[in-house]
Amino acid sequence: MLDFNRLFEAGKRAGLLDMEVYFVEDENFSCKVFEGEVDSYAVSATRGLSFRGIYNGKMGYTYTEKADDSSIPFLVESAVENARLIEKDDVQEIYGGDSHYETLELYDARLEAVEAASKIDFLKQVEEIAKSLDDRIKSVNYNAFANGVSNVRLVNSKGLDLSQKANYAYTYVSVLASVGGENKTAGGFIVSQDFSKYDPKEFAARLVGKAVAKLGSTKPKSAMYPVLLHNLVAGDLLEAMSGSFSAESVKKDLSRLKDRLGETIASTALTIMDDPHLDGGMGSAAFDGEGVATFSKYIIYEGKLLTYLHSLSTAKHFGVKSTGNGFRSGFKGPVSIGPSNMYVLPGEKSFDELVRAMGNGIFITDIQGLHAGLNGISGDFSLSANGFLVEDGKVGKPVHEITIAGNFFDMLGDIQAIGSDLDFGASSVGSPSIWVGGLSVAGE
Amino acid sequence: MLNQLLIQDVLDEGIAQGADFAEIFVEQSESRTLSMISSKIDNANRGLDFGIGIRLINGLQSVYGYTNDPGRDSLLKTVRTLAAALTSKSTSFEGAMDLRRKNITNSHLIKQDLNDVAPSRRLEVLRKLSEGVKNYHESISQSSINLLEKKQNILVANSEGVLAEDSRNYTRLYVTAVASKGNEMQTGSHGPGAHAGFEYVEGLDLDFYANDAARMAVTMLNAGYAPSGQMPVVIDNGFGGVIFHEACGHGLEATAVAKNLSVFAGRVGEKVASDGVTLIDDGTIPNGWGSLNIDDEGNATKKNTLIENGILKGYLIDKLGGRRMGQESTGSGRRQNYRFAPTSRMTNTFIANGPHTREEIIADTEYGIYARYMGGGSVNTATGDFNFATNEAYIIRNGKIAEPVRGATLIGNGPDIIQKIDKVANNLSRGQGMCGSVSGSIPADVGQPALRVTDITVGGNN
Repeated sequence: MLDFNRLFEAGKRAGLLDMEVYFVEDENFSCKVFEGEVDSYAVSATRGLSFRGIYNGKMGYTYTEKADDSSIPFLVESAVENARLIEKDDVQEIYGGDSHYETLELYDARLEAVEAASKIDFLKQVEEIAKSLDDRIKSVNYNAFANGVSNVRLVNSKGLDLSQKANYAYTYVSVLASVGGENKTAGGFIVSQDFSKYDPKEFAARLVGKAVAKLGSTKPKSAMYPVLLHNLVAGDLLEAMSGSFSAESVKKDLSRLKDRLGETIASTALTIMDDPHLDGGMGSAAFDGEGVATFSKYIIYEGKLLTYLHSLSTAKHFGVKSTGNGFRSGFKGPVSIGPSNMYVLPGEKSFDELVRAMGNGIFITDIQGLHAGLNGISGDFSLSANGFLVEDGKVGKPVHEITIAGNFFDMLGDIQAIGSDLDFGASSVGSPSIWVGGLSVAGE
Repeated sequence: MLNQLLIQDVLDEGIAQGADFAEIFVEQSESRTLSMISSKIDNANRGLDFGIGIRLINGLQSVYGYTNDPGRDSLLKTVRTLAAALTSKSTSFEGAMDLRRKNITNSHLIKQDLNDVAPSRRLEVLRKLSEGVKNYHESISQSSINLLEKKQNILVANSEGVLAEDSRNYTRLYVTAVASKGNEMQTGSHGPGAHAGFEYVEGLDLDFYANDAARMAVTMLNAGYAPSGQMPVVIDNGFGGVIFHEACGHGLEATAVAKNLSVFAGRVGEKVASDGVTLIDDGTIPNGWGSLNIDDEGNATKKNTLIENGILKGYLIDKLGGRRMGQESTGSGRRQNYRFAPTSRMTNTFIANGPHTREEIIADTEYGIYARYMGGGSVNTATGDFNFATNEAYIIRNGKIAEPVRGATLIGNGPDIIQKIDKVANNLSRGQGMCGSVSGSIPADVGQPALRVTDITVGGNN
């Protein structure tokens, strides 16, 4: 195991002022079942570390998966070499630490006691039950369970030494319904550290219901429609646009929210929060990737933009305090600004009440190709989608092979109502279902 | 990268514990990234990836484990954990065969390894691109230039006696231009790359990539919204082939075919596409972005004809898929890195040239969309449904390319769309992409000549 103090000493000799190690160690398990057999099974134990340090005021980054002392010369040489290349003039800092860090229970020991056989059995049951529920279910085309435990440690030459242990588990299953040459899939997640939440009957029934409901889909006429975005769809759109809230994007002129702080940028029905201490949140963390203590804050409150998300460097640039959003997505990449658990606060109306209130339009249950069909800067999107017609206040016939097109920022101002059904799916970004006044739908 | 005796012991242990096939994959990769935003170096990173993946197969059951601890204890522990997960054990213990080192013929000449390049040469390339983008037009507000260099050293050995080592060098540039006007922002980009060293970048026409990315951004800034509905679409050459990569290529991988999850399963010899469609996957193209000397299972890559004149000829097959299908590997077993078990994947996949010219095809189209550059997209392999963004598109009116349109997303169904290709031109070229699937994200070329799809749903905002 690499001795961090020896690394810091070698760095100091090479001219690095302040230094930091971000060390990640994890163990993971995953398996898939297909046609009653274990189709894939994987176990892993890995570790790696990022080393960064300040040389002549610039931050140099490097990483290695050979976490032993033989890597010290490589790490020091690479950090110095990379720092010397940097030309951007933002002020960089290795953090001295905060006086208080929230204690978060992100590790549930009970999960580690669950045997692989129980997880496999769960998947087998889901498959068997799904096929037995409806003879139009042709196969369970994706049937996976994964869990793991990670240990993150952040140590710097200013004496900060933070660590966080966490574990996770989830299942993702997709079923294929088929009748008369029409094929429809429906997938879903369970995300929980509590294995008793994995109920194969309830889960299989939910997915089968979703898949068969799509059979008999038609294409609606191309037109502008009122649209009800399913909670997970609304969450996916928000996640894809979350870069707009980053102060780094604002600073680099890559956000339309530049110069809009304090302005009303959305319907007053919309409040968006970033809460790093949310119970069970996928993005929960007591400290960010720079060692700054995290805290919750409103990003948008009743339509008004209150803050950007900051790292230490952007906070200095804008003359504010870091919001504790300088995260690392692993040890290979640099610090990058992102939300922790970001979500739209739920409204009053239940899903059924939203459908009744909208009356007529389209209910969108799935969107595809967000990475390509949405411009994360301008907010323009045109996305392949499917869902259901809403007629006379009721969810009606399924529709498919359509696209919905519009602009994310325009849509924020066109929110008619927000439901009470907040859901995160398997993401750290969540939303209730949202009714928007009009989106362009391409069909027939 | 790992002692041969230890490799032999790990494989032997796998067989002794009940596998009928054992494989070890050792990887050590060095990568460098450099990014310049609006003429200033914004980020520089350098890292070392190292790890070992072990796979045991018995019959049709495969188990996989990986670690970056190369110690004997760690590897033997991994093998035993994996073997314990095999639900049935092979009993005919004869041990693994003696390892025979394979002679690899290197088809991809590398002149400038990433460690032979002085930093000033990288800066020179990035600066030239950055200046080129900025100076193109006053509406250019931002440029982002990224350089990625990676050297992946691999060793793969298995209980059938294979021992092969290979070194793969990847070099890729990403050039992005942002054009702004009031609240509007549009981007244009190019991402040329090759299985080559830094000499590839120095040999590129940098002015073209800078100007063309900027031209694309400015063009789209002044474009109106695309119409929506069903209409003919002419897709130009190069990266346009991404549609057929997604819509057909993934459905021809053993991963989907062997489990009967593909619409193309069991249909070799049948007509699945229009007469003019010949689809090829060729992992041997010298210095091609998706090329390899050997795949990640140690087999030499090949040129595989998948569809010929509309008739389905074959699939892309890896070891395990081959067992399920009763067929030999086609040299298509690939993985992102040691963290993934290999599976059947594409390399450089393209539609072959046809008899027409792009100009003839456009002149023959009364009304429709001309997609000059495609963006990314995705496909549901179980249903064949796909969606793709266009990065630069125009209306075709009365046989002529008319005004540019933004936000034209193309959606449809793969097996359906390849039966609606009525004209194929003769200007085949390839473009580079990263292809994501169960064994991770890997370099892959897509390609085609210009071609026309008679009827496709365009999802615009107008």
